[in-house]
Amino acid sequence: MKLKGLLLNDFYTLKDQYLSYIKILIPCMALLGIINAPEQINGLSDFSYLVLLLIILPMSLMMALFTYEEKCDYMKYILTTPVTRKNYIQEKYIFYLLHIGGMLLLGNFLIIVFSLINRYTPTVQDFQWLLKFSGGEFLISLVFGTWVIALSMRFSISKVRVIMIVAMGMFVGITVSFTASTMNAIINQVGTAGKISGIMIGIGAILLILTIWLFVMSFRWAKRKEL
Amino acid sequence: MEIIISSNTNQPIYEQITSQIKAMVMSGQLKQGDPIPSMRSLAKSLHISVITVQRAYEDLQRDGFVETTVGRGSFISAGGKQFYQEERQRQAEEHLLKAAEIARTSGISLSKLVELLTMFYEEDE
Amino acid sequence: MNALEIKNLSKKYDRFQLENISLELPQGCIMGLIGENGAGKSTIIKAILDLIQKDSGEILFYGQKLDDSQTDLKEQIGVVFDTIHFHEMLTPVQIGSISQLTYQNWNEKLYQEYLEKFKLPEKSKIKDFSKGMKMKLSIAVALSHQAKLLILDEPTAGLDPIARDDLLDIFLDFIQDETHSILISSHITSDLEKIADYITFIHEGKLLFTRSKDELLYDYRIAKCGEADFQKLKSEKDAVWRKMDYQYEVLLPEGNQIESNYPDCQFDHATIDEIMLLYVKGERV
Repeated sequence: MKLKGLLLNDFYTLKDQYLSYIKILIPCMALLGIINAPEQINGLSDFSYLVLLLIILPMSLMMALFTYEEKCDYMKYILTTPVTRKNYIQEKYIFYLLHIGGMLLLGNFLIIVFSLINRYTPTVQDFQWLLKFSGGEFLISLVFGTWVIALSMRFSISKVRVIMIVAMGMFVGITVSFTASTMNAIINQVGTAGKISGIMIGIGAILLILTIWLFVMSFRWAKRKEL
Repeated sequence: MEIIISSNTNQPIYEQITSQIKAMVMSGQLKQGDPIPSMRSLAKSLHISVITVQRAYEDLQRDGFVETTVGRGSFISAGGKQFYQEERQRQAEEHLLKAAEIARTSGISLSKLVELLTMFYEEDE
Repeated sequence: MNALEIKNLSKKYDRFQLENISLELPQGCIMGLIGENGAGKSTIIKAILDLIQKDSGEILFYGQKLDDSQTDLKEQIGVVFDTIHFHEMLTPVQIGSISQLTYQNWNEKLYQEYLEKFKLPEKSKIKDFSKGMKMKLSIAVALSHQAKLLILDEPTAGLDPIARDDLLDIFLDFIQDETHSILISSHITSDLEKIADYITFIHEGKLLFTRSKDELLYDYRIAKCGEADFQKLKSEKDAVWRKMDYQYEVLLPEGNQIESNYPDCQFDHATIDEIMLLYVKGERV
């Protein structure tokens, strides 16, 4: 019940943000989906905005939420109501998960719709591929979300923003650099493709452990936060 | 019932309340058995703190003017009037004692004193 | 049982320290917490609500310790800060919906009545509200979940006299129930002079006194006198004094009892402001 109250507050707080995102994004996505279709992998419409939806949107919404909260000192008040610090942070994660879930559904739905509009019927293989791709994006999104929530319990939102920009920058940098051409170049330098995968898995593992640690710490930081 | 309090005087508000209620009892405006407002509602009406009214009611109860029963409220009590008369007489006696002392030590005669007292007493009638 | 008991509360910051604060708020009473800005009033309130960690001390609400998990206790406490802490785009109706889910004993009908009584437009965003309206909204929320204890941190700062008078009415109404209590921190002492039962004075992190308001207003005296009388008055119980250009000002907690001993001095009744001023700017034994 109390979590529902917290969720309601967060949705109300972000209401205007949602509206402005909808006004900008839908036209963009429609454009991308319809114009770019013939050139895409497997005939599926453009799916790059799935990345946008799943990673950037929930994260920036979360940061906007914490920005508003800091501005009006919301946490100070809400903890005087029958809401525990644990409730508070649990709800933040649930709120975030709801968003990624929503984006997953929306994104995949749009890909299929635009593909159909472009006279391409997705095959079973396409669905399987979409599933794997979505799963990957889901994980990445979860990682970023955990970082935003956890760090916001420990640092002010302006610091969190800096950290996340750096993290995003690194993420984009790494992703871009692992395009086919650079991959080949590195393989020639370093040796086998196996080693590359090894490095990637290593980085991935470190990231995952760090994220889990942040998740655990977020509860502790929320308990100790002075208001 | 009207109670008029002033925050501008040096007289404590609880005293203002007690003296006004006592005056109303003495003049017959409030009779035995008449209900008076509860402490809290009087505090609210007068815009003052509860503890002040509580002090007033305690003093009134001590002097026999008011009786408070839990659950039934506060009422004017009988004993107060007489007690008040006695108290006022005692105050008058004190003042007269002082006047007598001053007269004795400064050579004012008793008859002069009686004359003055009579004049003051009859002045307001 | 007291509504609120604070025992030996201490909290240390870099440049400021709250030392050994102890006080009791009986049920059915209003206690005013006074002190200069930065004296520690808000810190005390945050500490008792578990918003900051205390270095030491025990806080009891109706005999029970409050910690994060004691949500039943929090149901009975209504807190009002100096501004409303919801996002400015929310409306009173939305805040009501949120509060309904947050509090078990939320009384929506009562909340609507307060909104009407305070003339608060229920569908307007609170960013369009004046300071007084925001305050009244905070109070409407605090009064609509069957709270027994109201804690207010500077509720009347920035309000015009009419709004302040409305609020005082509301507080006196709240206290009609003998089990209800109020703790108000304020530096607008004239408000407290009207309705507070007890006054606690916090200065530089220490509690200087807790007295009944009537004692402060009617028993305390400020003596204005010359050098000779001052030397004698200095040794009276708990005297606090200040040397002015042409006279001494001496605060005497038992002034009403001793004023007849000093026929040459001017003995004035003290206002809470004057008492505070002397403690802050004066000297003591």
